[in-house]
Amino acid sequence: MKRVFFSIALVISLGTFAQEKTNNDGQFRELYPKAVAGDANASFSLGKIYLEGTSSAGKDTGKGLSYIQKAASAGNVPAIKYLIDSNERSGYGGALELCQRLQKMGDKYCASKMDGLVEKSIPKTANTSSCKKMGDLYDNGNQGGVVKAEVMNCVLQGLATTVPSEEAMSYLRSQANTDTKAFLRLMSYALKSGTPDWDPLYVEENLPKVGLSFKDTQVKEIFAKNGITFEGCRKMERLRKDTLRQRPSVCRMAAKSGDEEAALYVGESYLGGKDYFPDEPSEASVYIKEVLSSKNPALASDALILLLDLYRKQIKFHDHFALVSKEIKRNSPNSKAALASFSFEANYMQKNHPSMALDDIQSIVDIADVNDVAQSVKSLVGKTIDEIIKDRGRMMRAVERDSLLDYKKRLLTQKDLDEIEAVRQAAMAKTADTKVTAEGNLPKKLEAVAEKKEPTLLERLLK
Amino acid sequence: MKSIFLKLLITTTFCLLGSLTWAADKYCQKSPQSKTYDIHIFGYTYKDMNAKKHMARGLSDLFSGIAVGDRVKVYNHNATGYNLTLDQCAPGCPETSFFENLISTSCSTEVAKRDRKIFNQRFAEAAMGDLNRNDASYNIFKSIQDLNDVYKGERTNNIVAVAISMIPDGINPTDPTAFNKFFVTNVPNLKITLQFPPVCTIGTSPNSEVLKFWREVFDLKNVKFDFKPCNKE
Repeated sequence: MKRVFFSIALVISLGTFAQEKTNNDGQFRELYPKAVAGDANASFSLGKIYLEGTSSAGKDTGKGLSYIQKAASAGNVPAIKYLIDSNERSGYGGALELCQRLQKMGDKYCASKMDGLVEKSIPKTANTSSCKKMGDLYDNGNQGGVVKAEVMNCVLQGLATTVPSEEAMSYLRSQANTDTKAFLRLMSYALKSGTPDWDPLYVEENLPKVGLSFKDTQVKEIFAKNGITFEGCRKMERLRKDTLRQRPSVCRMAAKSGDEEAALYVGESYLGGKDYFPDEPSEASVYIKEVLSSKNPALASDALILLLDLYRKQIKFHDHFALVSKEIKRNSPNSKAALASFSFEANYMQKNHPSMALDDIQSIVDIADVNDVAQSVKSLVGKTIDEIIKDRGRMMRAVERDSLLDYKKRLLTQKDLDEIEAVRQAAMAKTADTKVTAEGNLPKKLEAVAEKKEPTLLERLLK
Repeated sequence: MKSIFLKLLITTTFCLLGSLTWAADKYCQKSPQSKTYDIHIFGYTYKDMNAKKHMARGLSDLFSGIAVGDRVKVYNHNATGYNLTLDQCAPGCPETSFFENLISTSCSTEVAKRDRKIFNQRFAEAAMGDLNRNDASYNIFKSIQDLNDVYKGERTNNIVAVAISMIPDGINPTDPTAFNKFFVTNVPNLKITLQFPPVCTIGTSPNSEVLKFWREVFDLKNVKFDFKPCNKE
């Protein structure tokens, strides 16, 4: 029952609404002759009736807008405001011109909208016509951020003379400290070589500060236009003193933007401190690492060799070993270079095994067992295993020790074993001679001790 | 035999037609005082009995003002066009002095009286014949355009009387909202070009809403049409 009442009430209310919706016929009839006769107020009101569909004529957007435009053309302020709002909502670009008209009429309706409208109307590339429009806006007192920035841009591009070019550059620099867009604009001037504003160092230093990245598309576009590439870096004279700071900057920016050849060159230059690059291995590694994963195998290989060399020089065992083991394990095209470099790990282990973690030792031994490792390296690792066991054998679990001993057998050749045995015999003989001199019959006891095998894990547990 | 009969029939027909034409024209006077009445009847625009009576009275008043020798043309309009249903001069002998009457033998008072009767009857038939047909819908703007098209902008010295209700089809003349709606839905799209000679009206609705509506429409279309009733001339 309630539902029935509700339905009836709804129908009645909808009916009332429908009546209300079309009850502007009288107003329409009154307005129409006036609108036809050119009355702007009537035109505007009639246009709204058409747009809102509140008369028996129904909704007619075309006619509605036509009447409102007529009213606006005749200077009707409400009509102009209506069109501004409507254009703003629909994204149509006519709102700016209408706002300018309103401003000329002394109306401040657009004061807060102006910047937004100008921003929308700015073409991607400034041209004479757009600059003239901006100049007019500026001269008419619209000196808000967007208009001002655009005017300065026009002046700097030589498309307008609204303000002196020095003032424009000064303004742009001040804006570029905090405004990304301004910075991007400034880049075009600061990277144009041969001009008084050329200052690549400024760009390199400040670009990240305004929230930009060297790899941003817009940044890269500007770089490409202004020769901030490896080609640009290459063309600049390496040893010219008046560009001794700018040239490295150009090369570095090219490298940071993703130019792999530039990155490799910069890394190499930092390694040796050449072409006015300071000798900074840590900086070098940053750039070289960028090229490691290059799709260009030649570049990636060069980068790997450089980096391994750098780590070797810096005796960065962990970095070196991580790189080597990664390349060997994934059997990459660079694995041969990595294997060739593995002697560093072998030598390092020989010299530093007492301070090394057992895990690292085991990883080195694992890799030493790979077929392509040179026998000399294998032998070195195998011999070091003996020393390791001697050094920390009692602290190792039997499984770990057995594993190392097993590797030792695999890594050492018969010749190596003979050499070890000879050394051991020589050492024992020397020790025996010493004991005989001191205690008489002791050599036999020593032999017995020497021949005594290491206790097994079970034996140790029983003790 | 047959051909003789046919010749006789054709000759008789032409003679009769000639006498009729003569009868229609014989009362016409070429004096500057004589007038020509163009009476346009838009009978189908009357759907209300009172309006019809009002129109009949108006026609009657107009008719009573027609003098001997005046030419009367009745245009009966319908939805598709119009018919000229009467074109005749009002019968009657011109007023003369007693002696003139004795000498002149060209007009017989008796004959003229008889002709006048026939004329009156013809006029009534021509003017009121279609009045009772009120079933068809109509477009009032087309009626006005039809009237305009009879003259096509040409000047005339005739007295143009129009019997038309001026009420749009289906509209209650006392309901302003109905006129509002009719205006809104019709006038902005109205394509009509009007150039009337001076016109007087018969039986036009005296309702202020009707007059207001047409005044607005004619103002919009720059038409001079002042709704002067014919009997107030």
